Amino acid sequence: MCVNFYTGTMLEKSSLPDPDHAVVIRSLGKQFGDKVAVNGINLTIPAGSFYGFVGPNGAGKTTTMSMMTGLLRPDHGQVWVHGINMWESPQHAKSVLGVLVDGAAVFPRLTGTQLITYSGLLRGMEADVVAERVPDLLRVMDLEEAAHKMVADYSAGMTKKVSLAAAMIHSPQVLILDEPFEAVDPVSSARIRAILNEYVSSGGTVMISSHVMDLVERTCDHVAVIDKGQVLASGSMEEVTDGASLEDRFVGMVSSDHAGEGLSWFHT
Amino acid sequence: MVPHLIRLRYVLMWNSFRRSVGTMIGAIFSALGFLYFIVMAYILASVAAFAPPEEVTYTDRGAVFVLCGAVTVLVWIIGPIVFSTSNPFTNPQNFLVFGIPNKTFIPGVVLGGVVAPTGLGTLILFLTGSVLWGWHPAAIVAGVLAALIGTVLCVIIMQVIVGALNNLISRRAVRDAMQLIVLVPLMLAGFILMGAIETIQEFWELLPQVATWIAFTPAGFLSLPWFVAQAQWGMAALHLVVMLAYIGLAAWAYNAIVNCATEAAGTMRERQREPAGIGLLGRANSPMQAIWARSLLYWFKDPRYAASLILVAVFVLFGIFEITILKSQDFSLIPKILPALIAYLLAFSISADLSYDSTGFSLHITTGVRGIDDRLGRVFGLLTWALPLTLLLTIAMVFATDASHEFAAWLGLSIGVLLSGTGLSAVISARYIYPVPPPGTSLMAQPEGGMGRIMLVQTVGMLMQFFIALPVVIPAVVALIVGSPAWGIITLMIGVLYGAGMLWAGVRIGAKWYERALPETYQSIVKVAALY
Repeated sequence: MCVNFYTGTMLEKSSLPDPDHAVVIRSLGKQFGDKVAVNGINLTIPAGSFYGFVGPNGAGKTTTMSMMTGLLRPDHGQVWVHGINMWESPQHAKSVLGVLVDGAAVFPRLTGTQLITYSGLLRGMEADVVAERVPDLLRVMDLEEAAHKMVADYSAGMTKKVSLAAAMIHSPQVLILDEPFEAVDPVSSARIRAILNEYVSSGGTVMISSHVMDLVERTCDHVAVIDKGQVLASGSMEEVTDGASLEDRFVGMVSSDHAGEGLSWFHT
Repeated sequence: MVPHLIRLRYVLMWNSFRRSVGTMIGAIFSALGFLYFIVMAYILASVAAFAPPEEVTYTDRGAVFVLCGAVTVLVWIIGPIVFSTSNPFTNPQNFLVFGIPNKTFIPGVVLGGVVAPTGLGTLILFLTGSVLWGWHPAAIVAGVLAALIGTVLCVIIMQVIVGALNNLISRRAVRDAMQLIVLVPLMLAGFILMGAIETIQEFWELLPQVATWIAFTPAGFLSLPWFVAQAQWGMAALHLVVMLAYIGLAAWAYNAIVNCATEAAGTMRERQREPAGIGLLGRANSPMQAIWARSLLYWFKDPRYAASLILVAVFVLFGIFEITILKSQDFSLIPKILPALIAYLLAFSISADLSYDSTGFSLHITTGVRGIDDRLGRVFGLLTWALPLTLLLTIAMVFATDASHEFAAWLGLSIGVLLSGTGLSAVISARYIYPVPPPGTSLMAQPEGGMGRIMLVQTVGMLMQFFIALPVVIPAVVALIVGSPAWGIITLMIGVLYGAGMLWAGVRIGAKWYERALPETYQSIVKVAALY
């Protein structure tokens, strides 16, 4: 921990991050009690990339993403979003980001329309611009019918979609989405991916976390693998997969030997 | 399987303690309170036991005892309705995927309920029934038997009623309405008790007769030692048969409910349609206005906030009742204080705002809302209607109680209490998070043992609010005692100026705290939300 801390401070002083990079993470670390959740990681997310963030349960994905988005204060290390330091000027940095928080509740007593509108207004957007964009978002998320239903009555997938719409309304430069496709039906999922692809090709940056390797491999052009709070590999998809499938590379990196023996009694 | 289900309760409880020290402290306080209650019951029972039967007749002690049993079973039923979802055993659907046969599931839940802390406490409380009669071996045995039957009945009746309600109220709209309706008698309980105390003399004479009626209802399970002590053997035998029949009946009903829950799992659908339009949010054009509009909407759309509105309505009705019907001189102060009291409660009500948002608050964080916008939006969301309401109630009260000479003092008090209290809430809610029911769960859902912690935080908060209101309360008291109009004007001026000053300071400090500790606040929200 100590060593990481020192490299962290040195990096802060010596190298200012390139504002052309969407997100730069240096020596980011967080400890909960005795457990090191994120152990001084470094990541660079190039602008205009579709970045996948994969790792087993409890690897530190959500902790990292929380520290990137202002929800969790890091013990040490820094995060820059397009050159803006998240923990020194959080309001400025957040204005560049659109965030989907995994597992967070929404305001369930608002209707879908109200929730998306609320998110836009909280961003300080003009009311008429918000009013223009909300119906578009409802349409692409296939939520038009449920637009005036309370989010409390939405299914898990619909809640995910309305939260995603709320994260996109201000057309941010960078989208950080924790498990965006979980519980979302395949039709909506394909449509959302198409929208995100278009967004990336127009210069936007998307970072998603997922357990579904196949989806990440098909969708993303960059990937980082994290396990036990450490980045095991990161870079372009070709560099990381190196000819194999992402799933094989991933399992090879994170699995420990003794867990792989299986259940001797589990057969009929 | 039965011992396994019993052990599960203790494992769940222990784990909730390990996760949160606050929960454990709360549980210890609850346990101490309960222990105190038990000790008092035994002291009373012993006093009765050593008194000669000629002085304190068996009829009287038994009648009181039977009624206490009936009250306990009511507590057992009302408790889980009010605090529902706190205990995973009250909803059989939680055990759906394990495919436990009813034959083992039902005894497991019932026995588990008996040996759980609340069940054991109830059993020990009921065992006073074997102390009550002095040295009377048959009555002692009957007392032990009645305590066992009583505890089992309490557990099983609770499971039946809560289970039936769970099946009934799967629809959100119905559930919301139910929760608010249940609140009203609870809020009125104090007033009902006051009325009961006034008529207690007449009630005392009727007591043995009432107890005899209750003896043969499911709530009369403590009558066995009473009949035995009075050597009414026939009644005792009949009573025992009836009680065992009730247990059988309740078990049968519970069996049906478990079946119903397993068969109906996942088939409930929401059919309600919401009106179109975006309402107040359509008028907002800045982050502060958006939060203002959303807070206002929540006062009417979220039952957790709407409960406060119902409380206000109950208070107002009570005031009207006091003034128009009782016209009692003894109580003339109560309706006069009501507007200020309502102002006090309303100001306190937003001190849990972030706790109520639960993890939905992440939206305010990730969108980079400024502290001042958040604080002002929430404060305006309350004051928009609470300030006019307080003024209106004060004016109405002054006219109704014919106290126009005290108008300035009461008005100053109400305004001062409302504004200074709101200011304090703006600071408290910016940083202190305590367990409240998360959105969508039961209005009064409590984590295991969380009750004591909430009471602690709320008591401290309400005391602080009182101290902050003192600069208005003191001149108001002086004005009312001295009866001087000059002091009344002084109170009004202090109320408005001091109140506004405290509100301004509260919003500023709250905004500062909000921004300084935003991620830490969010993490405590996450921690608290995980308790449920």
